[in-house]
Amino acid sequence: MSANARAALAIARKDLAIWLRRPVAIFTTVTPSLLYVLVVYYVSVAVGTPPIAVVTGARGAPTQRLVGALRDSGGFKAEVVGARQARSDLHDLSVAGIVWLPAALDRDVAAHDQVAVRAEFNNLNADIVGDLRRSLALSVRDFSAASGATPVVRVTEHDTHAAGVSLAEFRMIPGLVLILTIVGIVNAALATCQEFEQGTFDELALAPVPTSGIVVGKVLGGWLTTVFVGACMWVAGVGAGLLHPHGPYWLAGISMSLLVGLAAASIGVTIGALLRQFQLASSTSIVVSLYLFFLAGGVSVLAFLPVWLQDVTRFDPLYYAIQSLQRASLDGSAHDFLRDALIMTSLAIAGTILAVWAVSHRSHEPRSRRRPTLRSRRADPPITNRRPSLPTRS
Amino acid sequence: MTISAECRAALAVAANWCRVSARDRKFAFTATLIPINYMVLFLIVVINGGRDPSAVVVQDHGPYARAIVRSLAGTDSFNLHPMDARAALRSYHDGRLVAIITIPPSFDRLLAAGDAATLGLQIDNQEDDFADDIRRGVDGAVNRFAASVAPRRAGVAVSEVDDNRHQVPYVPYVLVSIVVIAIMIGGLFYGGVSAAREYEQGSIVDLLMAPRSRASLVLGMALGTFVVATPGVLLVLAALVLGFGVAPASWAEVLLAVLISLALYAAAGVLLGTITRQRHGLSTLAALVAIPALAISGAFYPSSWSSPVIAALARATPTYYVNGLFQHAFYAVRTTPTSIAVDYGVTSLFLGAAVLAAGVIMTRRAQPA
Repeated sequence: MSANARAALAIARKDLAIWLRRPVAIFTTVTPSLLYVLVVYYVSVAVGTPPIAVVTGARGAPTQRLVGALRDSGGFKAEVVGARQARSDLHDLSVAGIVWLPAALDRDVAAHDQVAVRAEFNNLNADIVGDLRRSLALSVRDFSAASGATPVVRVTEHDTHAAGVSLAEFRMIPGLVLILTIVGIVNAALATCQEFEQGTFDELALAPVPTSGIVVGKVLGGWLTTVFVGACMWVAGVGAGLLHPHGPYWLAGISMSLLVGLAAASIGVTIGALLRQFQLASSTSIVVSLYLFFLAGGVSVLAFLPVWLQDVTRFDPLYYAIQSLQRASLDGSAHDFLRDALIMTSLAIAGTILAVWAVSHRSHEPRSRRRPTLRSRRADPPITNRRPSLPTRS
Repeated sequence: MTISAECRAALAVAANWCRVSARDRKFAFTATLIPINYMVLFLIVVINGGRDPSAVVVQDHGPYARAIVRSLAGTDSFNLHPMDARAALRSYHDGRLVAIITIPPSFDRLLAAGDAATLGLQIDNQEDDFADDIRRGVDGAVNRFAASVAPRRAGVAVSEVDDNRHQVPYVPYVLVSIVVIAIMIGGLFYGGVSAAREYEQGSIVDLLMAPRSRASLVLGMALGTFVVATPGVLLVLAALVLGFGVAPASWAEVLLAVLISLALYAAAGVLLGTITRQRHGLSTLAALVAIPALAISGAFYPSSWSSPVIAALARATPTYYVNGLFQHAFYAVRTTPTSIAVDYGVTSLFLGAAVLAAGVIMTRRAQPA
């Protein structure tokens, strides 16, 4: 093994050891994974199924059928209650609406007359009330079909996929990419800027290895942290049944995750080397990660974004990573995998080259123009920390 | 110990924090931009407005065909793009559309003859939830259409009563919640980082040695955070009002909600910094606390419409009440079952609890982490 490679590995090992010794760093790195799973669960289970009250004036079979259709709509949680309770629930925001089924429902159905159903919605939010209307329409269709009513319009449906996946499965992949990106960029940026802030970079620079060796070591250190967290995400995702690539597509999924982590770590080292201040690097790296992720489409489906954003998305490398992982995990396909892997590899290489430039460029600055490091600051009183003149006890 | 001396101590601490941030211009600049950054990011998430981008291929131009297109557009479910079949398929395969609705050439003829017409629906059903939304949207349109062309036919006719005179569209509703998250992250981040810096630089020991109460120190720190975070919050409000044209129902209420929420999150930020005592990871932690808190607190619709567990969790977070204050200030709608006065009261209690907790922890932990 060459001296450069040994130096790079030593730096990477040191960064990983420092990270592992910091409970706060581990907490802030690993917690996003757990929180993301919770948020995905929340979005998938809780959002989109508001409760509604159903008030019935009849108890016959047609009424029970319609109540069943309302319960099966999937768009809301329907519960049969009395009129007074329904009113009170609507007022207390315990339900989003009331569906009033008429007392004559059973008779009207038997006589093939029209059934007049009244719906009362809390329409404060257009999105939710739209969901309620659509779900009610689905229930009405199902009930009418079961009652033998002739439809005016029949819908013939053609689905692109043999079977769909749940919202939680669908959002797990973007979540994985989000976590890998944040962890990779933030940790690598902070590990790098701390070398400058604490003055240890000068010592690293004295080692008989080129700058590129040091940078590769920092990138590898950030990458190892990301791999650790990525592995936790994969285990959690597979355990929860949200990630399930089959056969060879495991390899495609894991390879793409590794490449995302590598590219993120290289971007992080660049940010750390450019900014060299902990607070700046900390906030900037989070913002950069989030922009990279959300401009790639984030948790949305590409088609739902405005056209201009769809065009921007195609220039974001993370878009290709998300697509590739979704194909591997959801579709069981490695279509365009080589192209996507090449894009992410290019990003990692470009990030590393930029980081080498950032480190070399700033290292060549005369000492007088560099920001004071913590070590050099210790000699002088800190300019940012004047004591406030507190009033004395009277 | 007099009240005026305590106030002077608090003001001195606040003035010191303002001076420090005025010197550290890059950090002040970043702290100002953080709220607006989060606003832009969340906007990207919600900008689609929840409508399904779909093509409608009209192969019949009779009155019934035109009526069903109007019904489809009237459901508020679709971003409808009229296209020919070939262009629709191309956009569909490019991933720019999630559904193609085809009105076949025989549509009017069949209906005029008293037969059931057929509507073609092609769905990108990779994800079940989106696919169900599209199906329900089409069903809604078909029901509306059926009610208009055959008003007396057997079946179910739904008449709707809406509780609110003004319905808040999806994006403006979420935008107000985004203001809450911007205030929350700004306060938590700046308060946390500044408090942690006092520990890292050891200056907290000097502050604690002053013969003043911990409450005045924490209040001073919160006040300093409040002042420094205010430009970022004003920027977000300006973007909301001037950029998106959201006119508040009551400016006085908006002002009051901003004051109390920024004070709360500034104090919470000081508490966070006092707990961690190091700046490392504070920005991540602020986002980690803020995003899930807002997600369960009614950012998208009232939490009481979620599962009972989520609703109970939401009630235990201050964000739930703060979100309610902002939605009421901007749209005069209630998102909590409690009255606005109660929401203000509970928010104030959370503010007091944050100050108290920070003071207690500060007394016990004077050394850096």
